[in-house]
Amino acid sequence: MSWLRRNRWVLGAAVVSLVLTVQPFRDSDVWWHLAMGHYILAHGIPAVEPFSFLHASNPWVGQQWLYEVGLARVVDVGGAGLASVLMGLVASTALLLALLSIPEQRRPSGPWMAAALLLSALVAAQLLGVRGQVFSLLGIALVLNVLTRWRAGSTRVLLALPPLFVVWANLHAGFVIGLAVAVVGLAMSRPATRRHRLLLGAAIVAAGVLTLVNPAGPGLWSYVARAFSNSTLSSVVIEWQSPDFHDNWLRLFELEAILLVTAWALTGRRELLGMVVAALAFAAALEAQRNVSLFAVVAAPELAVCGAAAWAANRDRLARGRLGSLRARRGPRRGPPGWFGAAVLGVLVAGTAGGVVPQITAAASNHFEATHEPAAAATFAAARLAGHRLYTIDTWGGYLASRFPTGRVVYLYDETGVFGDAALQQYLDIHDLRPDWAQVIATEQIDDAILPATAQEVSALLTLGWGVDCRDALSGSVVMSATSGGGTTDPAPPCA
Amino acid sequence: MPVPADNDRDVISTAPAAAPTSTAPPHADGPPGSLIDRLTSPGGLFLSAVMLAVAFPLTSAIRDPDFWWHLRSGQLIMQTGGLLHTDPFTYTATGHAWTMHEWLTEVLFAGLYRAGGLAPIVALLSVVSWLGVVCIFLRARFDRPGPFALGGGMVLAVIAGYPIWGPRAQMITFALACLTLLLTERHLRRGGRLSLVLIPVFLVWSNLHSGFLIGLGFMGVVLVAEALAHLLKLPGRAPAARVRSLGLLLIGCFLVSAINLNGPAIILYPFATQGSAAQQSLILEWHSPDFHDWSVRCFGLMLLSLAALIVVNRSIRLRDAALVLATVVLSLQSIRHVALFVAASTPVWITQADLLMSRRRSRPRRQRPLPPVQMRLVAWALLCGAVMVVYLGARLVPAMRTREDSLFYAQDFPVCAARWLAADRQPLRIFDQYGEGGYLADKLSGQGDRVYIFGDAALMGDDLLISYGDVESVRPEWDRILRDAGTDLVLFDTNTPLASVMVHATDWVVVYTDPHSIAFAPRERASALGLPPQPTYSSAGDTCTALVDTPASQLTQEPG
Repeated sequence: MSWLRRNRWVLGAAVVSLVLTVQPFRDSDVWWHLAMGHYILAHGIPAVEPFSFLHASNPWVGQQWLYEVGLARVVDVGGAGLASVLMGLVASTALLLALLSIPEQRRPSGPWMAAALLLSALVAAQLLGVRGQVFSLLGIALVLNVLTRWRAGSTRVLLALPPLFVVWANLHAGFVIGLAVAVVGLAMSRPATRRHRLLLGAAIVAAGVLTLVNPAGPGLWSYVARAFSNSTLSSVVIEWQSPDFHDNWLRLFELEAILLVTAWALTGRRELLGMVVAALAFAAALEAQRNVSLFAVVAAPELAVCGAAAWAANRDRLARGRLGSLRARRGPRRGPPGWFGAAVLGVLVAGTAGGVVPQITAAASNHFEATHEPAAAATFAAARLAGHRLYTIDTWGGYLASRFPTGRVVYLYDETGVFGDAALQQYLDIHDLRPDWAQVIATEQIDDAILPATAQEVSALLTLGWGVDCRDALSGSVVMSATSGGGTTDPAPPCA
Repeated sequence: MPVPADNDRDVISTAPAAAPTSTAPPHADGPPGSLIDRLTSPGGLFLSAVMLAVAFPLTSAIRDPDFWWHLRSGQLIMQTGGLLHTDPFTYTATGHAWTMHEWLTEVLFAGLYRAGGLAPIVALLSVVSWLGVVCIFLRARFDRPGPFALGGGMVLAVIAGYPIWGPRAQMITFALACLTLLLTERHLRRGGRLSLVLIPVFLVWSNLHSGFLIGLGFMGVVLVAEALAHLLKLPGRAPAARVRSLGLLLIGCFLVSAINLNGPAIILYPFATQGSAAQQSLILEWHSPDFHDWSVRCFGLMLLSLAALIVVNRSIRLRDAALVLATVVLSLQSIRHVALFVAASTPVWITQADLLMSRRRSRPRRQRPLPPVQMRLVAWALLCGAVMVVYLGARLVPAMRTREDSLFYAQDFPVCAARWLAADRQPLRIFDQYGEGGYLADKLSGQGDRVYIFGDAALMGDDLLISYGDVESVRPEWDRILRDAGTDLVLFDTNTPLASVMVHATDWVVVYTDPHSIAFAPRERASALGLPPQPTYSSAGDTCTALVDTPASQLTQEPG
């Protein structure tokens, strides 16, 4: 009970953060993960990519098989809404655990913890939702907690590392970041005894070895190396590109980074480990914006501790200045009455529920799917174009994989590590309309496509004499065929 | 109220009292007395070499696609004897009011071009860029840093700004922004009347480039930071009288900026670009930095190391922190603002690096006796001479000698296509690439040809930019946009989506092609346009022959 009372602010903030972390299926990859989960439940983990008619140059690694199976089960049981709630809980728990990784003696007051959690939730929100990466955020928060306890003298806590990494390696490839954080912790900390250091080293080695306990064995590591070294990836997947600071949410990321540096500069209560991990995460986020959520999680505890310490250290300075004299003239402030806190809490919980519940109903999930994915177009294709090869953009490829899990009619989706560089380049030939785009279409015997109505591929295909079979105004998609002829998009009927 | 004394040597902490001492000790190995001694000491030799070597990345042949329409505009101003109020280059923006915010630069370009072609323009802009870096150097020296921090910081700065350097009008703003920061800092530290130079500077600057607003912005940021420092009674603030006179100076500079052939509206002009989403999304240099690019990673390295130094030292003046913050935000928004980051933040980086090194140094270095002055002078002259010779031979002269019709330009601009069109006597309406409109305007506007778009995005307007983007991205209405505009010819780079699609479009016909460019005409009007036939490039020594014969992988970006 006293633990709850001590942490009521940060717990309240974690609850409020559910408004941000519970999200519909916004990440388009969720659809092929879902399809793969159902595939694994029916057939086991495949050896080769099972949905696409392209030749994937690498074997299927199944690096997220546990997440995929779990996702499929959850969606079967409670629909997309349940998956959204559970993953939102995981994300909020990750942020909460990151804040709770602050050692007791350094822990700032509740409002600072709550503010840091909510700011980080805002910054990370665009990269949360139903996606395997959220488990990696949770894993990193757990590693931070393990390191905190180890630095406080506990060695028993190190026993948690190996099982954590066994599970993590089967959920998401971000476990390598967790190992890196642990190694940085080992290098940056000064434990009481040499034995402490050796034990952490041994635990990291054991955790690293146990990551091999996965369906692909050592192949998982080569998969990760391929993914990180693939230069084409940033051409295809926006998340792997550097942040575009014209976006407001990335301005929030910038704001959090500036606040963090300011707090570090204004206080002496800093710890090298936290600073190094946050700085590395910031550098990683500049390289690929998908790492912004990683930064948000590791920055949250630093921001809370150092922000509070900086404020405390400089409050007197402000009071000495003219601002302080102005405040003194106004007289001391009275605190709010006791009932006020309870009322605020009630409003927050009600507001959170009001924000979350409408997102998780079946109707809301269906509407989101119909407006963000080519649902009606896929229904049209299922009825009229059964067995035809369908070209689409990479972000819709995963959705089509979930709608057409058999027959290998789908083009490419964002499991780029499996498809390999040659397939990606071939996709870019069409998507970027490189000179041989029409030849690739012909070579791959593609006669049908589901595309955003404004995509440049639509114009290109029209010049080849393709026609528009139907148009889905809700998702802004069109179904096109080489055989329907036409050369114009105007008279197309609705897909529904 | 206690007013701090002249704080010329101080790096004042904003950290609490518990923080490490905030005053950088004067360097034990600091520069000896006379100028000769300072220049010929080991540190002086190092700095002399560095300050000459930094000219290398600042110098190149002209790559800025906007240069060409600036040149043509300058020639037109000289011909007509006044500013142009409407656009003479396009067939799409003819009714748009034109604010020629760089008219004086354009006249300067035209005058130099008449005198000696591209060479004097390259030389002048290289010198201007270098002078900007010198201003950074002088501002950094206010804190008397050691030569290693000073030299290292200058090298890091010019490498960090590498994606931006080159002969272009923006370098004038870079140099004058550096000068503004230098004089502002000097005024706050030493007072005096030298800072009044800024008033004529702004008078000229507002006629040279609309970036003068950056200079006013820098002064404003410093002023607000100093006012805040006084409000909070922070140590290290400049004397109140100097801050007040800086405020008056800012007002004076603001007022003289309005003395412009375009009138006071010039002050609002830069906001049109900053506030235009179409411009920010279409123009590459307005994009955020791509940290996958190695040249941008150097900027990332400088940014991260500066943050680390500030965190470790916990000692920075509020005005410096404010300048760093403002330029970090700007440079993360748009890669072109990395130059502003370099201008404002390099002295802070140097001061911070020096402070860190001073603290790490456990004991002062012993002053070693210097060799005889003659020997040192010879060594200095040899070193500087060697760097200068290499710079001139390897960098400046090749950049100045790069001809407009050379392969260097032919691989980036439609040099050969423009030559082909020059043989056509009939005025054409040409749909062009955004970055090539300026070149085509320069080469073809004299014979009556008009382009769809060129690099003055504010003149073009958002509607036209969006329409252009729709065609460039081959959105479904691309063909209608082209025809509604009355386009006679589409001249685009090969290997672009538009070219790849038009090759298959049955109602457009290819009328010209070379390895860089391809041209299409509407099939129904192709013969009526009377276009020259496709040339065959076979003359030995000809640029277009070389372009056709050289495999793409063997084309080099080296000027000359």
